[in-house]
Amino acid sequence: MLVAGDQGVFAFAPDGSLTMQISSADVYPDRILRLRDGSLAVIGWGDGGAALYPLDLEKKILGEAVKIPSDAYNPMRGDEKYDLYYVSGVYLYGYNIAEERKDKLLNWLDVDINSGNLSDVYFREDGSLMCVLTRYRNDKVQTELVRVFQAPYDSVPHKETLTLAVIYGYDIYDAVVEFNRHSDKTRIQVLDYSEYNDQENEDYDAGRTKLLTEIMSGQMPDLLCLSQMPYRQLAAKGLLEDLYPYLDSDKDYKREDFFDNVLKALEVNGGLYQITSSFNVATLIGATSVVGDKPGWTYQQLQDALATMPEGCQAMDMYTTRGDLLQTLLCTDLNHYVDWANGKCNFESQDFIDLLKFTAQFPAEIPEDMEWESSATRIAEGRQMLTTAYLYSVDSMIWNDAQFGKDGCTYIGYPTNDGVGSFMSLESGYAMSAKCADKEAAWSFLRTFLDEESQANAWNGIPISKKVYQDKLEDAMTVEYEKDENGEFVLDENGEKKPISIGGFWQEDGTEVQVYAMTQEQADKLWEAVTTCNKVLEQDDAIYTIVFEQAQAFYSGQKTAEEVARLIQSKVTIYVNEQR
Amino acid sequence: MDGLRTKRREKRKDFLRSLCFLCPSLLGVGVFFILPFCVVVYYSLIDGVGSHNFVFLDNFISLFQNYSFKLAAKNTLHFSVLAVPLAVVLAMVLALMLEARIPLKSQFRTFFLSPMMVPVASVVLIWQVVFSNNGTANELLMLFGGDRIDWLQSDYAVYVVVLLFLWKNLGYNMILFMAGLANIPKELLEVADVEGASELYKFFAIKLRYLSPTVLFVTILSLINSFKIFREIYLLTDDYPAALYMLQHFMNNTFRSLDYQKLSAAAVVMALVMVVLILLLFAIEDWFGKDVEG
Repeated sequence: MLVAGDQGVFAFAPDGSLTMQISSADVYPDRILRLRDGSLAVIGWGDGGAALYPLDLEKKILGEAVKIPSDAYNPMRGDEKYDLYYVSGVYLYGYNIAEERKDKLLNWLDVDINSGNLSDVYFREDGSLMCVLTRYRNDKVQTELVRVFQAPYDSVPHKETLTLAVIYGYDIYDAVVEFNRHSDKTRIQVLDYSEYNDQENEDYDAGRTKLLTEIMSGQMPDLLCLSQMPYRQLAAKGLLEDLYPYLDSDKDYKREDFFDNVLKALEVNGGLYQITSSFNVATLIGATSVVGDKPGWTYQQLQDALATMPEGCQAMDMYTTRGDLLQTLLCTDLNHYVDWANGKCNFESQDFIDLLKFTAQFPAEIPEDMEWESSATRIAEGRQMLTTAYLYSVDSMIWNDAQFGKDGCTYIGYPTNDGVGSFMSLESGYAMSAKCADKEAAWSFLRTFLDEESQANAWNGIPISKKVYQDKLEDAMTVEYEKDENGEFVLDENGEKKPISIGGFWQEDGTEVQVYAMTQEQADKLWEAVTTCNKVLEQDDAIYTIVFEQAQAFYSGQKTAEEVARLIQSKVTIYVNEQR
Repeated sequence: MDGLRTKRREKRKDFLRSLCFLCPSLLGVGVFFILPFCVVVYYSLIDGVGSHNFVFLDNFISLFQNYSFKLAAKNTLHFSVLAVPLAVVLAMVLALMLEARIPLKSQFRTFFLSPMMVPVASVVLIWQVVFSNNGTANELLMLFGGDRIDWLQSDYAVYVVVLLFLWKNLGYNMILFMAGLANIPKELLEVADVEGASELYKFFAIKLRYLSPTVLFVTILSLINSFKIFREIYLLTDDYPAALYMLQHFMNNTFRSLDYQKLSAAAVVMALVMVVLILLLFAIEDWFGKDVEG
């Protein structure tokens, strides 16, 4: 048996004894492969990246490196057509070493396989492939054995095809495969525009630009993933279909099943133009004794609270610059400042002027030699008042709260004159084209994101379904207790059952903090944090650039905040109206 | 009869021969100007390059309702109405001054011609130094007790750019007028002198009439140059200079956001306005200069 490892290649006899070792200081062997001529080679990583090293068992050496594609992470044995095969992204490739040529052979999605679940692929003599698929679903590992083979065109049922445009669509493949396998009439074809990104020249926007170009020139896909896309502009231009009529007439779902504030935050002129299965909440948290126990505050209230802290206390963590904060606050509240549908802006408001004044107190840049300190330490020592918190799952609150210890914290949010300054970001939103050929079929795919099972199995995010949310909350609040070897509960010094910790972390002073199941108080706080969040993170680079450039005159003292707000108002109004 | 037929045949042959010689130019103009313009007109009448659905005047209606287009058109009109007459009148005045015997005439001429040789970027740099928030103009203002003015971001911006436009274009216009003045028959002016005509009368009755083709030419040229001022404005400010937001900004930005329908509609509207304007100018020149010989 031959084994490749960090130290080299090892040969073992049937009794397990080491019979040979080939070491190489410059190569990190990863696996051993048999090539199409029957010889053995080691796939390893050297100075020049991934390469194939012929294995000479007689001389006990590795041969000269033969370059292979850098994305050939798990190459498979070749045959008479190719030296080796490998899976990269959604494709199966064949590679010819002599010609240094790779050929795209198969799109796994076309055969209803999510390549992210592929554990192994075996090439059979009859030309078919045996694939082992593994995925984690419903708290269990599911394994599937699939045979892929060529079949006559007429023997395969022909379904109506709807195109779905994505940019890096890894998280959608499972949903697409499930849908394609079970739908009799419709097939979703994924067009991943990340293929057009130019990694060599570090142009990671090329795919997005191409997709937007095609949309603006009338080649709108039937379905669209809205990650990195200007959702509100597309909706305001009438390019997206309002999904409320479909939701309202759906036999299984109704609006009341989902978080009302999430649906409202996604509305454009009263219409819902994207659907999502989950969302995250970003907010600021501070000690309850300092910021109060109710979420939401204004810029003035924040300044008042900061005035009660020890001298030198900073509002936020040490790496917050005015540019970062300006971008966050702008993206959080963009809908408040820009009305895309009517082409109006609101930058001359007191809200925006307060925002500018608030961001001015933060540094323009962070010194490179600044020593890192954790927010938890700074908060405990009274040198920092607030920290950014992300609620990316139902139980993430437990970990945030643990930083504040017994003092307790409030999810106060970013300062705003309008409601609570927490904002949600979507895991991924999906929309239907207003010109989709078969809208009912498109809805039949989109509604799968509302499915309880798919929401329950989502890796990240708070589910938008209230029922799934409650189920996850119950799991997070379930306490398990320690038992001794006799199965009896272990009691603490007060005679109470000892709960089992779900995890912990180390603080800088060496103290270990243990984290336990969610309490009812935390559950209530989470509910309040989630249901009071009514803003969606939306980025518009052009608007941010205008705001940031003009704000410099205020930050440097050349102009007042009012003058800068007036300039930004006129410039952004022009920009917004150009997009209409 | 035969003679007539022969004449017609000769005329047709001449025409065809001329057409052959004109063909390369006609082809070039057709392919690089007329055909693209036809494509632009087509784009302005459809809803998208992918779908090609004919929407008639919907794009134009939407354009005229668009705030950005209306602002750009207003600013462009404002600038042209301000700058073009000044460029024509001042250039004419300078040309008349140079025609007269003034001291340092050569240096005067060089002074006005030299801006033509300066690259745009250098011009913009100087203007930025003078008119920025901490620039020379504000320093002088504050020296005399005034407040700082945001020259390039306020309503004063248009006057700054008019000044830049005049500084750059007066010299060339002046040369054209000087050439026009040189072509006026001296005998007419001498006769007018003998008859006792005043300088003012000579100017309006003789010189201006003979200069009318030059005035037309300089006006059209200045109008075209007034659109090209976008280059200097763009370098002085940014993509969205509120007070100086011109039609070219609108076109540039719309092109960048790939809104070809809006862009095409704006281009067609601009072309129509220019055609009407130039026809009007020709008509005025025809009427005004009708007594002029030749």
